[in-house]
Amino acid sequence: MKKFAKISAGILAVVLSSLMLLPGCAKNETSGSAAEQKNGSSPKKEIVLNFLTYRTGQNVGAKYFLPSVDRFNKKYAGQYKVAVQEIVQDSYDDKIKQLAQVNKLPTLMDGMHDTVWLRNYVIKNKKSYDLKDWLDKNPDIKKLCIKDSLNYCTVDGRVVIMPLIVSSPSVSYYNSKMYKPSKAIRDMTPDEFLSSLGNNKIAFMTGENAWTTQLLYSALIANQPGGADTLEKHTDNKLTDFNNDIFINATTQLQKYLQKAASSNTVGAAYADADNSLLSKQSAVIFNGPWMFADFDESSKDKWSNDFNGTDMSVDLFPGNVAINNNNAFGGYWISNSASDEQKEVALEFLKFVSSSHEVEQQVLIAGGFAPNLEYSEDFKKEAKSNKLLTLYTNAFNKDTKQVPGFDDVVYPSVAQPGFPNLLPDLISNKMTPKAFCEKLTELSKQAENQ
Amino acid sequence: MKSLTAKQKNLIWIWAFLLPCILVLLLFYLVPILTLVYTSFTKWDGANAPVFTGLTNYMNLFKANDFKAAFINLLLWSALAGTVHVFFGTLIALILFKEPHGWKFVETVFMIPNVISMAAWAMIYRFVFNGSYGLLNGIIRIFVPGFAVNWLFQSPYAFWAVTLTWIFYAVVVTLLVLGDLKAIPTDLHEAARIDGANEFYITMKINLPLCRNSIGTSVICAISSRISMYETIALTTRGGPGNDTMNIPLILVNAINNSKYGYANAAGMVMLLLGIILLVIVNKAFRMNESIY
Repeated sequence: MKKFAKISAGILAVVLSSLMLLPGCAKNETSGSAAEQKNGSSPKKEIVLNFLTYRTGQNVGAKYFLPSVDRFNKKYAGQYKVAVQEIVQDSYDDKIKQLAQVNKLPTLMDGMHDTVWLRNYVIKNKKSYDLKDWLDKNPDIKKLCIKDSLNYCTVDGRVVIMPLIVSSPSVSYYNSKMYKPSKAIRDMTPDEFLSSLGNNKIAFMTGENAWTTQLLYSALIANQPGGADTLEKHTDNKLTDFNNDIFINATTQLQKYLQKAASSNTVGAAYADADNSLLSKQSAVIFNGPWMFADFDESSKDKWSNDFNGTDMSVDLFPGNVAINNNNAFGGYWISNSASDEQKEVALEFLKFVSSSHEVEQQVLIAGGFAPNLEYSEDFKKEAKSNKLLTLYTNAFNKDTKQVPGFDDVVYPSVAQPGFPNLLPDLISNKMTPKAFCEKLTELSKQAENQ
Repeated sequence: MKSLTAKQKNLIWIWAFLLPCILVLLLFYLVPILTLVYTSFTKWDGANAPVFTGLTNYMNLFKANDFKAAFINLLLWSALAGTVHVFFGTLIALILFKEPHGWKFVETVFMIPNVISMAAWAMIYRFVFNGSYGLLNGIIRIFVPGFAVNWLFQSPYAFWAVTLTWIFYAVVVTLLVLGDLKAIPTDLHEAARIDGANEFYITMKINLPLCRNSIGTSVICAISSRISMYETIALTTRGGPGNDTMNIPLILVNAINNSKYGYANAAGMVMLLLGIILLVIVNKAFRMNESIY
């Protein structure tokens, strides 16, 4: 019995110790099977690309992206397959950074917000696949890329991230049954717009990254003399000094807006609360990107209340003929340089597919925006004509429109969130003056810079 | 070959059984802690090699206003956790120990929050404290029409609103103290009663002193939870308004978001040191190394 107990104990100890070594063995197994595939032991096998993306589920991008993936899989059935793996957008950057730290970057990745990390790690260490040759071999795709974006994504002669083809500036939306402006919002000054609102409210927010509030703040900055230039200059070198007239005046105007025209749930409101405020007619105006079109479609009717009707919605730019858009960003797809040739092959084919005229047109029709270098097909023009919001959106822009980066593009991440949103309640309640607000922003930015 | 002595065989078995634990400790605790210590003295973006910068991260951290605010908040929260929170948990344990009518139902209800995740808990409180349609304002408006306080986003209420999300949620304290109470030999209580002691006297002179260790452990658990409190704040106030509800884990996460891992790890080191100091103080104060019986 004693002997049996000793043997059992021995086996248990060995098993437990072996378990500790299993993760290492698992890695070898994976590489083994990958090597097998590479050696061409099953050449006719469909190549599967696992794509970790946030454009799934309730995400606004899912409406055009998932059908696009389906079309790709149908077209290349038996040859290539893109298998979508879901992740929430807020966690995307963190997840990719974690995978990068353990040298397990997925083959294909979505656009990321953290340009500092992309520059310091991905680009500096050449972790992304150079798309230059591929773009040169596909001039029809290169032609579609937005020039500013192509320039920005080209670092030391390498195209490190897929440049943007579709531009999606954020604008103003209003319920035309509740708010009837005497002239186009883009032709008003910020003060005129505020007084034209009457008793109508704007769906602002101070929760999360205060997105809708941040958009108006960006537009107010762009309306100050030198404001647009300031925003454009700081997408890479983040702003650290807000103690000047541009920001103090913009903050003074923002305070007026927040005190006079903010919806009742503004303080603490997350995006869902702001959205709900508009869709329940508690507010008449909201600021957002063209992806919001989907909320005004009949298919989103279950979100509407108090007789809200999506067909009542209208679009215009921000006062002062401003739209918020940043082409100096790494917003497009990118491919890991360490992926196998086979995986890169599918990724490039997928990029080619989603950059085709038809897919780009589908994206614009569903999620709005423009493809400035694309000659739209007749079918598209016909369909776009019947899409009232898309037509209004497109027509709102003219040659004098100033497209400027948003506030969150020009400040350190911790200033954009939680810094800026956390200061707003005190600005609204007058506990903080606009000057003190700017001083605090400066302090937070300097702190982020010196960390 | 010379056969092993019984002592040597024993040693081999001891090491064989200890090996998994030692490996877990080395891989999952010691290595990360050593990395934390080293990188807290470096400038590190998490991607490229860390560059040694001495005490710069600590100097910057101690100079930062958000750290000062977080430290003051931590002191206040620790004081509340070590007193009100532990007192409330102990009180519930003392009541449940008496097994009054319906005690099983109360015990079950009191344990329910334990099965709800902190994230869900925080979301529930967002609704309770909501300025427009929140439960709390709804009740207050019955007596004070037009009452309008945005508890989580208005100074000075936000601090207290965050405090209310955990201060009466003392299940761990109750379980620890109740366990000790049930371990007290019944003859001690009988002897005290024969000597004429009333229930209050028994509680003060017998029960509480004999629960010294569990109360001390509760104080450690309660305060260390405040040092590491993240989800509740991140999902409600995010440290605001201003720095009213700022705490060290939030500073750490903000630094990570800025890709400043060296600074973040300096904040992590401060949390670790505070935890160690807390252990030493509470161990001494409650004489936790001394035997009770």
